[in-house]
Amino acid sequence: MPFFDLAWLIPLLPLAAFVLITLVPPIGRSRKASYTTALVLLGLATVIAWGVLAQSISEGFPSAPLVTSVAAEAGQEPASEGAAAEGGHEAVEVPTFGNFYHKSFAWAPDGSGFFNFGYRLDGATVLMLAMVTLAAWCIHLFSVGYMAHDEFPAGHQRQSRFFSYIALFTASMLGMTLADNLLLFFICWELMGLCSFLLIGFWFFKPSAREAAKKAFITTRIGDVGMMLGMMYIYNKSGSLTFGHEAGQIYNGEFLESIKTAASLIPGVSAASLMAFLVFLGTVGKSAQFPLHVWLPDAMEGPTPVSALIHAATMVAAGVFLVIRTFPIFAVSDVLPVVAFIGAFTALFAALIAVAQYDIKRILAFSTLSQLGFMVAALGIGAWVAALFHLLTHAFFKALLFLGSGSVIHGMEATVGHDPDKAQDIRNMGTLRKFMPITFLTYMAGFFALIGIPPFAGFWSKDEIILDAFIKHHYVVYGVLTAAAFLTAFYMTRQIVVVFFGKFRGYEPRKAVVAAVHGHDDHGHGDHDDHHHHHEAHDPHESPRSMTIPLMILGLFAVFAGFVNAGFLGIHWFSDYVNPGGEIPDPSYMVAGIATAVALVGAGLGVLTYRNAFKNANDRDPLAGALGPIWTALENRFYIDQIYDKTFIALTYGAGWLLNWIDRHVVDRVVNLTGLVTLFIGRVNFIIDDFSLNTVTDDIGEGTITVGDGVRQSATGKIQDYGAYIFGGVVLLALIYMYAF
Amino acid sequence: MLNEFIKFSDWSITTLIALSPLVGMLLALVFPKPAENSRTIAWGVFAWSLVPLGLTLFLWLSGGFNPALASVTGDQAMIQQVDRVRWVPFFNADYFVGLDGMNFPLVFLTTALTPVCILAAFRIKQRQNVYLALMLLLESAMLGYFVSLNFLLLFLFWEFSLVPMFFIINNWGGENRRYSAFKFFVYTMAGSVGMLIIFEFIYLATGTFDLVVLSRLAQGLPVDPALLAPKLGAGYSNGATLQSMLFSAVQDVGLTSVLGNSNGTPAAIIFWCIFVAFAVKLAVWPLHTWQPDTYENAPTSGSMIVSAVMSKMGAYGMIRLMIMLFPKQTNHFAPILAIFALASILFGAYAGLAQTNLKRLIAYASINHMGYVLLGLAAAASAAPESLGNLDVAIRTSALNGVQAQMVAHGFSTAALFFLAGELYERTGTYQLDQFGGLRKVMPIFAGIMGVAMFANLGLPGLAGFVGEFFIFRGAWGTQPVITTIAVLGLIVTALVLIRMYQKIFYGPVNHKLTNLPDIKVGDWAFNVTLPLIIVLLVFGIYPKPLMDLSNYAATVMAQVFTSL
Repeated sequence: MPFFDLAWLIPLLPLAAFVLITLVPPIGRSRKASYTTALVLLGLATVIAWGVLAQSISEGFPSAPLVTSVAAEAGQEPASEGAAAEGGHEAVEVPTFGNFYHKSFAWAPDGSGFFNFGYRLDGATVLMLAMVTLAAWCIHLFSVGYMAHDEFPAGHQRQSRFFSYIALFTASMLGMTLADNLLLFFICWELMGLCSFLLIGFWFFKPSAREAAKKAFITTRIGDVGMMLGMMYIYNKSGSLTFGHEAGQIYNGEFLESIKTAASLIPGVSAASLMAFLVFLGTVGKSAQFPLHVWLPDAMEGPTPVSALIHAATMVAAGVFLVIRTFPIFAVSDVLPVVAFIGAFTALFAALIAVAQYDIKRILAFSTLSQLGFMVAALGIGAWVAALFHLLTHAFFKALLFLGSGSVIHGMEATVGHDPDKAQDIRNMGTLRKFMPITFLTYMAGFFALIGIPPFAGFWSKDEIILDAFIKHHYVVYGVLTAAAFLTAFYMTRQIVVVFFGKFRGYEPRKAVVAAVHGHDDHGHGDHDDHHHHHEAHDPHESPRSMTIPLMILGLFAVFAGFVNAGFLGIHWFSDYVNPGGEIPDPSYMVAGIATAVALVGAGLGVLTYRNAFKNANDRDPLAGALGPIWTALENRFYIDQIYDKTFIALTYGAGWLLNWIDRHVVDRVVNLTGLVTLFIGRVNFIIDDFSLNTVTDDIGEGTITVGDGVRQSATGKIQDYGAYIFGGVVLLALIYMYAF
Repeated sequence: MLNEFIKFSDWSITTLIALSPLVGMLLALVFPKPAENSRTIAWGVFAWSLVPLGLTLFLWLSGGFNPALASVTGDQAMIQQVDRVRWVPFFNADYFVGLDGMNFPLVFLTTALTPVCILAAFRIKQRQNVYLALMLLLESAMLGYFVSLNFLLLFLFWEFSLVPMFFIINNWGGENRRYSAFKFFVYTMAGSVGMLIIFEFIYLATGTFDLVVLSRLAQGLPVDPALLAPKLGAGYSNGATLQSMLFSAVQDVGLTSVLGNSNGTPAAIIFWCIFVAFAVKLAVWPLHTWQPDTYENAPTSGSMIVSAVMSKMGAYGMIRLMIMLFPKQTNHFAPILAIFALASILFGAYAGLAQTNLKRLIAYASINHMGYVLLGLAAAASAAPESLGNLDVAIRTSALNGVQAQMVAHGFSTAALFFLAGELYERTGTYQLDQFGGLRKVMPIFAGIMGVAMFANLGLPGLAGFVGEFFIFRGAWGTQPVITTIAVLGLIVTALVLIRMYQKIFYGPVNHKLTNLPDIKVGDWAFNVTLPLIIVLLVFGIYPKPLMDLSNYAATVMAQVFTSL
């Protein structure tokens, strides 16, 4: 099969779609031509990606990693040290990622050698490719229906723009997945940042979208510069950024061994730890971990399919994939406990916030944060295979849930109009299962997968993370994740009950939800609102086929994808495929039983609490009264955004104002003053020279004449001479400075 | 011996590249003025400006300039396409021009951007022919400066480039044009007077203004004694270096009583004089305050050329005169240079945040970007805090390659930004950021083009700006990790500055006064000005090898100077 050789086309096909839609006017002008281009080219990429998967299963990858004995030692040694340091935790294995396929070309000169770019196929890569292409294709197809009525300005479709952006987004994610080195990885990573900026700000005329786009770009960039420094550090120690085991590549045993012990600039921190920490900052930004999580909930200012793309298949998954790609470095570092802490904390923290949200997409957004926390925590305990497994299953069921919420919103708009504050507020919904049966059924599949009910996909992958935490004796992580799983079941049940059951409340929606809380501002809606004419009295409706088919495809994966690694059935295909020869934990009925029970209890409590809540849209949440100020804090997301506004953001703009003031009123004043003083001295000298000193010139000596003449010339306007004066001052300062140094 | 490191060609065209614009200038001035609104002269000048570009591209693509060619003895990069004739025998000075990896990218930058700036200058209505003639004069002066290998010649072009720019600002500029032109002229001039005096001393100490000979002398490489005729000091003997000859000259004139008996002091003083001259041009904090005024008040095409090309004259001067002639001093003072770089990076970024005027904002972003250039130069020369092992040369080379890539990329992206800022002004009559809003709805293509320029400027991967920043930061992390760690703050804040600028113009509700602005149309004049800029930014962002190959070998040789210190 030729698929390995064609793999480079996988990112280039959607990229070509972006270029064609953007640059070829006949395509760009037509809504139909644009989405056809995007769907066909991404469809081809999907075929190649699954072809690569098939080829790898039937033939295997051609090259074996060059694992030296040193690498084995590097893997073994932390065993003893790690065990001592972490109080009995098992050592973290340095993964080899199994056999691979690799191709590259020279991208830039690098002294006597070259910086090479290329692609690398191995188990982890190929599964990511298969997931991203398929999920993204479903999201593309869904968008055809969802965006059909988006016109701005009226009469001008912007959907071709939309499809070009999501094609570029997908291309970036695919390029990142295939990258054979960290720099190409980073380039695609940043392009995703660009696409998120463009797509979150797609409705650029809305100030809330504008702010959300800026926030996403800048917040993730904070993490990115950390990652960039980490990349520099790795590059300067290893000599390249290529993923591989050969000398000078970053999985090389000798390299790992050397950074494990080498001191870094910070006393007491090994080079490996500093590298891993800096790289992890990138993950914190991109995968929206605390404290850089603030951008992700706002990211739903973009159209809903974008949320599905960002929250499920691409951007946030990138951060987790980054740690997996560089896991050998993490494995020899001491930062894994930090990773585990951040992940577990985010999992619980976000789950708490999700309990008190009313916006259907915002609940899912916090659920994404929480699930990413699970994955990051898994990475932190060394269970990268489980993290990857959960990443893949989560991508499917979260894409499903987001698209499902898009379908719900689309249906709601028929009743409440095109107003996100109304159409997305779960208090305005209710009993939608009757209006939208396909959406309901598929949404339920996603729901069961997310809360981890067997045999849905999320059960298997979440169970594996929790199992790893348990058998590796990370009991704190285990406890926190279990609590987060309980809350997940609770808040998702709340959502399901309030949205799909009970009484439909949309005929009398809540009146203008406190706009200030969400930062919404509805300028521009007038231009853009072509849904108003179906106002009043209309029932919500099921979405068109182009929207329900993707839901069904994703639904299948939400139900069945977990079976690729169903420990209880003796299936380890997934583990063997991505980490051949790796250790496989024995499944535990106790751990799985507790996890399932916790989920059922959470769901049960959810049903009990919300079964009779929300008789009409203006009712309060039953927990709001019970929890009081705690509820308010949760609803306001622990005030993190407000705190950032008052501290970092205020400080940044303050510093800007201050430095600008210094620039204009101190530095530039000095320059102008120097000029003025020079002119003044010139004038004074001129006067003295002409009137007082004329008679005593001889006494003063020839030197004075020369100086006087020079000054006179300057005062008569020869700018070169002003220059000489200023220069004199500068040289003097430089000399003083130099000697003082 | 000279021929071991310089290479003449049967058809050496360096002089032709540098001086051909002068002919165009004369033609533009003497051509009988056609009827009102005729574009004959404008198009003629534009066509003429394609000649140096064509010649440069010919050299690049035909292999007439081979960037990887080593000198016969293998101790430096071969200087090619040399023209060398006796010029001022009294000063032992030659007319000596040639190309190597350090100036070729800048020659390309100059020849490629001048036609674009000339096309942009079609907006100028008053005495357009004079304006365009001045642009050609400026091009010639800048090219002459980049290719000169003799200090006298280089200094001549350096000073001369101020004249056309002065008139361009003074006669065609904005509100504060007289003040800005004066400040620009005096500041640069004042900064370089010391350098002139100091080079006269170098001449007395070595008997030559030849920059290639001087740099070989500085690095302790063999030099033909016949090329040296010191007027002061003990004269050249085997093993003498530039530093020792300067000290010997200082001893000769009896200045040791003032300067002390250390042989590094004279060289250190000279080093700082040279640094100040070029730091002013590069707009290094705190010598930068002429720059926002100049960029703000110059006419659009003037801002384009002064920010895109002229500022690079400072960085190039640092490479050719400061680093190559005084490597030990650069190495010694590199931490201070890095601090200046950091100050530029942070001041440029943060002060940019407080700007309300579009052009001033771009000017501050430029200060920030030129800070990266200085950081790269400092990084290449710094002593490393920990052993860099066998990657030492590669890391320093990275920084120098990055500097070249950054200069070219910044030239193209800033030119595009200034042009678009000018076009916004033509359409709206303001540069005030709070006067815009929602213009993406009114002018989607304009917004798209400015978006590419803006993202290239902030260093988005995939566009050329990132390549330079990446390689500079790689080198900087190797030798100046602490400063580099603080400097990345600049990457975040610059992004915020530019995103904020872009959103203030194009996002949010449409300003109701600006609902009828003409968009850029495919194939119209504004489109044609920006298209080449965008293409170059994309091509070198995606595949920088051709650009970086130009400097790589010369940078490697230079890096080796510092690893062996």
